[in-house]
Amino acid sequence: MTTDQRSASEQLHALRERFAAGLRARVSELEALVRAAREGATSAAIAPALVAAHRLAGTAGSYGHPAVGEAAAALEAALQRIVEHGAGAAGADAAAWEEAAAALGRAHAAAASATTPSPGSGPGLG
Amino acid sequence: VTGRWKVLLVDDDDDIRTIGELALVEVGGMEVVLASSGPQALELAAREQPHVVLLDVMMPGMDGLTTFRRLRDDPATAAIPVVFVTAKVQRHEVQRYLDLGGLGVIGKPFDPMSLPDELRAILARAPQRPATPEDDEP
Repeated sequence: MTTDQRSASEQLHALRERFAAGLRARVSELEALVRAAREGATSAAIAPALVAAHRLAGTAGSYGHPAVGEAAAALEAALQRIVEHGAGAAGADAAAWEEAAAALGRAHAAAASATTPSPGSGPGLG
Repeated sequence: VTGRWKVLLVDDDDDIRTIGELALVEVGGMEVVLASSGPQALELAAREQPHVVLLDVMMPGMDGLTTFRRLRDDPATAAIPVVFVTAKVQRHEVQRYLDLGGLGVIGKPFDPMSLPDELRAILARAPQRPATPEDDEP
């Protein structure tokens, strides 16, 4: 490993530590948005949760937390299905809400056990 | 073209811009210009003339595909290669981005340590490879 690569790896580790430190809070914020989405039961009410889930799905893996990212992606997909079926449609989206809750549970569990890979312990998606 | 690669990284997410910049600058030795929205990307692409644009597809307001079309419509930016960055990387979705005129697709989440190589590989296998700083190396 060159000096430049070591420096990049150390900087990446510092970034990941900062991200990991806020991960549980971020998942809790996501949970609050999902709760508000379910109470509102409209596409507009679901939009903030959808955006937050999409962002976490896109970032968590790059910051070394693929399980959180995968759970967020599953949550995003479930919320998207609810919007596409017409939010609030009785029965039709019950299964999707259950999937959303399960995905949120997985995100919580993964965030709770998240540790930051040490610098130089391996590339990328540790 | 001389000097380092100049990449315009466009993403509305602060975390993606931060880790993408680290990857491209510190790992890839590239120069990076950051934009957080489609309109900002249009302005910076015209002014900075990057070698390539890394463009997030799903952004609020002007999304990535609209930004791409606007880049192509402007003679000042029409020739700048665009690589889409998206979580939607199923075969038919990737093909759609290529059919639109994108040079390639990088999936989210990306591995920051391999992102520069992934970008170089996309540019290297392009049918009409754009000029890059490597072209000036002996």
